Amino acid sequence: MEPIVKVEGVAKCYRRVQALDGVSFDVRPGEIFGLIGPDGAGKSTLFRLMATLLCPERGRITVDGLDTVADYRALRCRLGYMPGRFSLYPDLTVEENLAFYATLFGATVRENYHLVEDIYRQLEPFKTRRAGHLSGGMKQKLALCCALIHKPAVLLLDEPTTGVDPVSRKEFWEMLRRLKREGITMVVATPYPDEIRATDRMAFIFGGQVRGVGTPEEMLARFSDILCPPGLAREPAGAQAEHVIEVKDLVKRFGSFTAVDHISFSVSKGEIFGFLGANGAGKTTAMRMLCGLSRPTSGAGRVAGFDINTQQEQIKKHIGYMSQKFSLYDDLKVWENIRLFAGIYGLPEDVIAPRTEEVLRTLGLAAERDTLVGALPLGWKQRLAFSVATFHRPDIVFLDEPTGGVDPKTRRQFWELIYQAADQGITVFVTTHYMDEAEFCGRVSIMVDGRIRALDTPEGLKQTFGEKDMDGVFHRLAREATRNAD
Amino acid sequence: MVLKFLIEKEFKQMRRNPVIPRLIVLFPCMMMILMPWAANLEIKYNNLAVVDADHSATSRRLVEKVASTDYFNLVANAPDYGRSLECVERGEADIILEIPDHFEKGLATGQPVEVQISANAVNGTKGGLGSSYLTTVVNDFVAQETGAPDAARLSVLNLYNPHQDYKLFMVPALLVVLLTLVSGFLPALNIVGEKETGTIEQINVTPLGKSAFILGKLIPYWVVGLVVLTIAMALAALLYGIVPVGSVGLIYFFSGVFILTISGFGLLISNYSGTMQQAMFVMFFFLIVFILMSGLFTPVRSMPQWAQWMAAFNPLTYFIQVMRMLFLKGCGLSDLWPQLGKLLSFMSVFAVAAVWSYRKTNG
Repeated sequence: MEPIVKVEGVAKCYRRVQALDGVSFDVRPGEIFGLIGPDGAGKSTLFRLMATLLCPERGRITVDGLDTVADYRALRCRLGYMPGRFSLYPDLTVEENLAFYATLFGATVRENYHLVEDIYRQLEPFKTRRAGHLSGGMKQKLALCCALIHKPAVLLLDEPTTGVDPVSRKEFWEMLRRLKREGITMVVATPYPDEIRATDRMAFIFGGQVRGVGTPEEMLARFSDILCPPGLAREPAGAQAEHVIEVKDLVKRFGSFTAVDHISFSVSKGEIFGFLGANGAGKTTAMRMLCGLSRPTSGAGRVAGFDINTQQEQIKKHIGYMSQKFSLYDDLKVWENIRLFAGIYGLPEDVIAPRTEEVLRTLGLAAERDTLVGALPLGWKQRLAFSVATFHRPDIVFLDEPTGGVDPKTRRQFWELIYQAADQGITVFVTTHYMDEAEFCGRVSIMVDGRIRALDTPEGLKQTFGEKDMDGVFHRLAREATRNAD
Repeated sequence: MVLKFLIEKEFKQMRRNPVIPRLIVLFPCMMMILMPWAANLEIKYNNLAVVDADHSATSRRLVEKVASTDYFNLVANAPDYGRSLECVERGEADIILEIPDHFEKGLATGQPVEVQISANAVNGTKGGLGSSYLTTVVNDFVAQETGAPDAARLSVLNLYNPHQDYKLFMVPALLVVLLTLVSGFLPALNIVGEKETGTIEQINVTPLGKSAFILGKLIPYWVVGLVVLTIAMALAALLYGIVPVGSVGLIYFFSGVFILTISGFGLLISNYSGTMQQAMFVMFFFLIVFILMSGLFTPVRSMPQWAQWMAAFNPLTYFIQVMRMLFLKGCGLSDLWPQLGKLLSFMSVFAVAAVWSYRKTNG
């Protein structure tokens, strides 16, 4: 069978960085082809090359028989491209976004509606809502509709499910399989092992080169050190009686919408507490209240011994926080970021300097001391952000989806840092969409529609619900959600 | 103590910005090298059409006298007023001088003579100044001819700017515009920029005090403003020989107060904006109003009452007064107390509002 995408000896470099070097592979018509590799391997560059947004320095790429350099105009009508970050206009409504993308390609929503019908039906109730107000999972579905509306032959999906909860991810992949039956070829990048397994064939890319092409089973076995590292084993530290977080009937309303609905729980000192929930279940809102970034509508709570209603600034002295969106200064160097935040927390100069060296050594970033943070790969940035959040030795560290979008090996390294911090007696409060990470936590709570639906150790939860892993428990509970995407 | 880290950070970020360091040098150069020539209110080379109905030696001498000045360019000699008006309509002439029949005879016999001047006032300043120059020239001529030069001689003495040099008048005003733009826009875009990149979140979750945060933003822009002022004043001295008559120390002192005022205002806007675009537009709106209502180009006294009230609530009004008084009149601090008081009030109001409106914990 003639391949529909043909990549032959492609090389691309940005200034001095060789992003891709001699990359070749073929994609057969009608298959779901995975482009898998660690962060910074060159996957996004490859996607941009295939999408005719970049020109290769050497080699050539043909898609559907058209060359990406010579025939780019004709090719663009045959391609659907969904970049890693949301490509929607947040100020346009759902239907306006779809109509806009259709018009861009000279198509109408009506003529290709059958292609997106299944997906769009779920979005229909929200069609007059602005895209910026949709939940992560819904945004991805809309973005997929927009990439499909001109009926492309090949769909390029660059990490479409990063930051999306497991239930929405599963739905998203069901849609991909349906599209496959329609005969659409898909090239997709993903950091999730279950999604890697769902591809027909995949290429493993590392350091700008293709290291292997084959079925996901073969590849996962061959590159298991990066794609499925061994699990982390840890003796659960003896739970201490002292509670560092205590929350009673906490409520947060935005207008008529109740984001967090009477939640109560407590976290012991030194515990690793997993705070799970689907996109829009209210995790981030709850966490922001605990950190003193947002004022509760009602309810009481104490964090590190201070009241969350009145003593926000006191709380801030005793906690560290790492937000979902990477939020160190890209235009400052590694050591400068550390120094800035250490200074803000009031550490004296003679403590900052030696501790900085110590942290850089532990992170293995000593050589990157003078690198601008913006130039670091995502996985390194995340580990740096964690170290900055714990640099002042806080009582509690809050992590909001700290490992979004990185490969399993990098995530494992991140969890080693979490364990080190916990061993030093720092309480860890973490949200995540990775169910394997949920297994690493001491106790786990699962939020559904603003309420805490279950709270126990991972073992306890699995027993209660009779599921074999956390993924099963999560799906079971998250399916109960009626709120549907906010 | 914390301030040191914050200021260090702002300067590092500023230095690594691809645009701002260049802007800090280029902007004052541009303002001082080009603008004094462009912002010139002197009207030269008005195109003049003459309708000479008298055809006498005296009327020809008047026309020669007018045409020999720098202010007028004789472009047409029309046979009647209608034709000369056509010249104006075609855009060839700006002003018409109509000399009546019996002009010479009238001057000789002392009969009243009516010379008519018609100016195109589409550009009000140009029309107004052109007709007043022309009136002066004609009156001079008549006085000479009738031999009664001393009947009522007017003597005009331009105080503090004896040669009515427009550069001398405009340079202090341009300094004000320069400081307003640089130290207004940069802070306005700063906090909202941190909101857009998400770094503000990391700051908000630290125990950093609000005043320290705002001061950490104000001080770097204060320094930038003073650097810009220094470059601009050096250029004014080098290029035009314009040095302040009053104390340079006082100029720096007042500029320092003014920069804090306008930067505080910028930070205030930044706190309330959600995106850079919003902050840019809102700031632009206010700065245009501030600049136009400040007496920079048109005297405040000649504005309608409501506009004068608005000007009274405009920090630029006072700073422009101060700069002109210091540059041209050489006033001392004792003459400037009222302005100082007002500027200091504006400064405190804006700085306090900037701190107050910055929210570390949202509702």
